[in-house]
Amino acid sequence: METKPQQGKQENGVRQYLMFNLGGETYGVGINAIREIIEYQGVTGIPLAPAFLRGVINLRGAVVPVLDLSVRFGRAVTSINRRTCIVIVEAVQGDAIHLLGVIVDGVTEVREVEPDQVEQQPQFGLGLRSDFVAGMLKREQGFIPVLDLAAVLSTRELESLIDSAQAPSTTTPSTMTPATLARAG
Amino acid sequence: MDLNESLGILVQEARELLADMEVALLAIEAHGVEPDRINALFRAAHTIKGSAGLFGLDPIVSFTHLMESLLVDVRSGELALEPELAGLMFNCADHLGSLIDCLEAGGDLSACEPDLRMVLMDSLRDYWQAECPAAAAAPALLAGSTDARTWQIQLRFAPDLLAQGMDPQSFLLYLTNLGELLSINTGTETLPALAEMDPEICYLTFDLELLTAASEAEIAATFDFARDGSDIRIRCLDEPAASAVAQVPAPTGKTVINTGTGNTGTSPRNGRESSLIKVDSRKLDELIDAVGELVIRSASCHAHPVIRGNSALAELMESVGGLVEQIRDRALNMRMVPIGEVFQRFPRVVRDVCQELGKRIDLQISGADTELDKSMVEKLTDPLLHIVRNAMDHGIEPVADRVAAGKPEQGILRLNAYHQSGAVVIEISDDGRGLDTAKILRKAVERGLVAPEAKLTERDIFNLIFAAGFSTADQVTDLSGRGVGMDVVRQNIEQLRGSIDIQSTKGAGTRFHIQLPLTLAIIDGFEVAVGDSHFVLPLDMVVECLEFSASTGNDIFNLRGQPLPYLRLAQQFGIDSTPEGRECLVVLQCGEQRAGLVVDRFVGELQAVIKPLGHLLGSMRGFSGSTILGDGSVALLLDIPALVARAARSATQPLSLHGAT
Amino acid sequence: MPVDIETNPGLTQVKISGSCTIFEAAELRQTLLAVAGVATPVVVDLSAISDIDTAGLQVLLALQKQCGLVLFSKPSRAMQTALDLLNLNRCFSIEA
Repeated sequence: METKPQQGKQENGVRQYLMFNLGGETYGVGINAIREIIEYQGVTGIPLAPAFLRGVINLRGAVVPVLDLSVRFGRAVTSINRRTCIVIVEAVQGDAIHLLGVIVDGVTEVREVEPDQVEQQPQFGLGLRSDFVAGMLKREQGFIPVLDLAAVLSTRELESLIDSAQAPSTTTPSTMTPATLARAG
Repeated sequence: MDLNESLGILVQEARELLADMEVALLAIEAHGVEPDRINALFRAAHTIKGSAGLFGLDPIVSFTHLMESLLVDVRSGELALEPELAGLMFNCADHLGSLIDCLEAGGDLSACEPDLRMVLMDSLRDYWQAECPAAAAAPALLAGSTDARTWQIQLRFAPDLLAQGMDPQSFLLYLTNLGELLSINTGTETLPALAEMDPEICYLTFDLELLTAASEAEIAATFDFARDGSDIRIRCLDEPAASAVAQVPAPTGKTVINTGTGNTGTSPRNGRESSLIKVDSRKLDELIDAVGELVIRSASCHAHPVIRGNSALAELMESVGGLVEQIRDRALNMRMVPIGEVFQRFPRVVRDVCQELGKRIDLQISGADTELDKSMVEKLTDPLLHIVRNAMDHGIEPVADRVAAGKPEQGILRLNAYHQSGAVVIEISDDGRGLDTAKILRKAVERGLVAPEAKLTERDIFNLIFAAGFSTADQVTDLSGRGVGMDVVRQNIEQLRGSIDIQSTKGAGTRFHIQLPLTLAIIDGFEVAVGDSHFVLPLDMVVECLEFSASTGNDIFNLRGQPLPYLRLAQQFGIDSTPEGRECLVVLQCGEQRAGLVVDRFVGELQAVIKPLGHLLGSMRGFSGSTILGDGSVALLLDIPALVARAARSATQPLSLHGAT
Repeated sequence: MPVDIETNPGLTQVKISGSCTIFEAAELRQTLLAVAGVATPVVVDLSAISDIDTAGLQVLLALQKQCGLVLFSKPSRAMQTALDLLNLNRCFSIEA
């Protein structure tokens, strides 16, 4: 049974979106999956990792992977400046919720949006994979893509990307690879 | 706490009770009927029925009700617990276990083994009716109405009780099973008017008087699932005023007042409960994370120039640091559980296997209170089970063979655990036929695991059974032939950073020796740096540290006349580094082989709290985890065996990446 | 949990049908708030309640606190069982 049915749901379907900049463009994401936004600092790089995996940070004692969204979109590596932030989001995988950090060029605002301002049909011509786009927000200046974080941060896809980035060492004699050593702990 | 969590507690509690039940049944089979054992059976059935009743889990309630009724008669001596009935109870306990599994999986209870349930219930009824046709009455009242006393019960439930899916009405209904509710007063004083109320908050208060023969603990158990945040007071009115108020202890455990005056009803189980607190292991992990941070921060405070410059402050800081480390050790200690949790499954397994195979095996367990990390206990169950099954299946001979070999009819299977120099050792030994080296070797050659002309030591041959795709059994039996081989056992143990070894004497028995670290959470580490990156190695792999000077044209270092292959971390990881001064070489012991690792500089030793790489990063090769350094940054833990293996592979490729400098 | 509300001069009649449990409590409260404003005596017909738990009872009791003059009438069997169990008959001014 879900407790407090009326909590969290906004009246009349009004939803809140976080707007952020990335590579000179503005994007929106629903705030439900966002845990917090922190300053960009203290990212430890991971040798041999694919470019979209910028490293890991210490978030109050938990080790959280940090992704470069721009690379994930097939664009250039995000360069770090004073306004760069890490948006901590919850990625759901089965029953488990994992935290992930996503690098953005800066967060602009949180907007409340009436449902009729959201165009459900993703549009083409964004230079983004269409499954990454959950909808389009109507704004005076045009449309802002709303990202489908579940697709952008799909664990299965990211893991297979990481795997294939390490492809050269797939054929490992079983006796020599306690590579999973201690990982289970 | 929500409904799922309450159900989770029910599931966990039921499993513990079923385990108690199994222990009692095994003891009854082995050593005869004792009141304690019967009580354990009764308590299990009774408590599970009660909990299930609160959730309206009818299939469980009706089933346990029958078990309970029968056990009441056993307890009163009207019915003898003969082996056949004990066997029936075993089957009932198994079916209950299935029901609990089904409940946990969110399945439909009535669809869980319905035919079996019918058969079992019919058998239970047959016993009950055959032996004591007059028996009826509510079991809890059977103790005799002369024992009944009047209890005053004050219930001030947690505001979120209703939202958690519980209803005070069910508690009251349940109490009517325990005895007679003499009075009920439902208070509405705190209930606000409609406009102000939150419809999901419990505002009503309840004051009851209950006449029952049940003990205080039994009454209190009614409210087990509502304790969190509730104020529940139970007081006996028939006893002198001094008989104090017993508060049902909240799991968050503030004060546990249990001045039970003459309340003999406090069973061992309840006694244990009052001294144990169940905590979600996730909460414990969060605590350990936070304490780990605290240790790191306090270390950086200690190193701060302001503090170093002030001896009084420094002294103070040092004592704070000491306390913080104590807290961390204790927090980690909370994850430690006795290995008995695993061992307690084996008596049943051994019993069943003996029946199945017609063997006679005496299981001897020692060191069940040896503690190790909770997460390891969970992962040890399967490998241990596999080894034990193997020992019974292939190790210990059938009775006839044993007699022929001049051994006692009954074989011995021994499980032992102990601590040894910072590690946990688990031994599984049997006095069976031992490993047949000739047979193993033949099989290994057949399977192409070794060359026919290979010269192997006895130990090498034993270790062949851990190779993938190896099975010594000529006939794959139901027990061991489950497609899981010893290779998986070894893999599981290695994943726990442990090792497994075999000793065996032909005709006399086999002993598996498993060595495991105490905890997965902390290691002694050695921090090194390459460029701006810091990495941590397990200190127990480090043999020595040297200044590095490459003179020859290959990647072999001359270590006091011995050749030592080495790899450069900067090259392996593609890190730009221009070390100032000389590079450093760490000599590492990696299984049977040694290897060198060239880094820019040594940073020092540290106690590293290991964080699994987990999500996404789990498939990154070359790292076995991560840890948080004194400055709050994350450092990766190097997976030395994987690095060495990769270097070995790239070395066999035509183009070597490693140019000498 | 359908609720019929009939406002007559001098009398408001409310009939609650079906299930009144924690699952419906919020909605029931919301619906009954409409009655809270009327000044007339309110008669609540309980004959069609199929299922009521403590959360449902609380909403009805809170309605009474809100409006003052509320009469409950014709409790169904489920309703009566709940009232008996919690010994609430005295709180509900029941009109047969």
